[in-house]
Amino acid sequence: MRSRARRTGSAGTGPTASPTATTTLPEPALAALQATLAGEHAAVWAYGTLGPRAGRAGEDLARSMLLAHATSRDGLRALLVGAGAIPEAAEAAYALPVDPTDPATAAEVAALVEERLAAVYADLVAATSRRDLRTVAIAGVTTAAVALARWRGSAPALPGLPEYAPASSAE
Amino acid sequence: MPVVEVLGTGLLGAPAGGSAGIARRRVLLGLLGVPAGLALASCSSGAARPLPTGLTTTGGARTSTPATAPPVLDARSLVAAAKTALILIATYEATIATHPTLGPVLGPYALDHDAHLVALAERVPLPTVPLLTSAPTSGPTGPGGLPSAGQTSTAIPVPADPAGARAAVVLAEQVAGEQATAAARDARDGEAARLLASIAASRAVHALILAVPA
Repeated sequence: MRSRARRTGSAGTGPTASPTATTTLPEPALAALQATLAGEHAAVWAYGTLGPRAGRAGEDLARSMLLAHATSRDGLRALLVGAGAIPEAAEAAYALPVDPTDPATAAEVAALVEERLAAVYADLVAATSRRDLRTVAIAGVTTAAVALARWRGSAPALPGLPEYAPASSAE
Repeated sequence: MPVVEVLGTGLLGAPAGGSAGIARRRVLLGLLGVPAGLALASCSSGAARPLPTGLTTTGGARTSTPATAPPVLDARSLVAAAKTALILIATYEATIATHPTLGPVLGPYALDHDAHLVALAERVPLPTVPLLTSAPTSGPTGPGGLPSAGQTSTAIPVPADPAGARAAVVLAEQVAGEQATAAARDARDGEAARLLASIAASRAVHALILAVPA
């Protein structure tokens, strides 16, 4: 999953070409919220792609997580709209770091998605002090960490904080 | 790990960690009462898991200046989180000492709390918890010989049956996770909030994993 760091600061460059000047969110919070939404878009796409390859048990888990991510995506959209911003649109497709061809690779893709989402939500925690956004962001870190643990069997000591991830490039 | 195995047990296999307790103890001892830089350097020698040294910023563009002190209110939250981590570690130690069969299951998660302490120590001086510093005795053999944690210095009570003891750890993790969640919500400093949110997530994962019987 590639991070699509689309700048929201330059109004008018988006596909909808609508200004975001009316938003009530400060730029760092807005950018982090858009990045989180982009991450949820990617997660929904990734789960839809990997689900059929995830095996019997994995497929059920993938389906329930796809629904959960779609719900999160809609919630983030609503937050952005409520703040007067234009929600980031989904890409048509995403580049996956691993091709989900069997249950093992499907689980790895799901784990990578959740790992990345935990980081995006953690950045959102840092980027806003608005209480409702903070609450959503904190819950997002926990949810992604739990999902990561379900796919990979364990979660890092500090989920969402890649600067503390073990430096080993094993696997 | 194949997903079928993970899902088949309904739970996540605990990562292997043989000498986890020893490494943990070394980390703890290194941290307590020692300047952060020295402690982190010393613990990086034998820890089972690569830990951030604090001397070199490991990949993060964020932790560049350890000298910047967060606002006082967050410092209090971070110290409280560290205190809770120490109590959790003591809880794991006491539980494993009373029920050695739980050692392989619990040990790896106790190590995560060490990592939390290391991260917290980069921002605030760690609290001193009496009796934890008197832990270098070779092997804990019972609850009486264990270091106790907390300001009250009372020993951590461990239920007599392993299932109850495990449930007590789950409860401790849940409560600790909720504490960190609330602290993250209220933190003024964004980076402090980010760290607290991550610690909250880790504790929630522990509670979830350990809540499902092996």
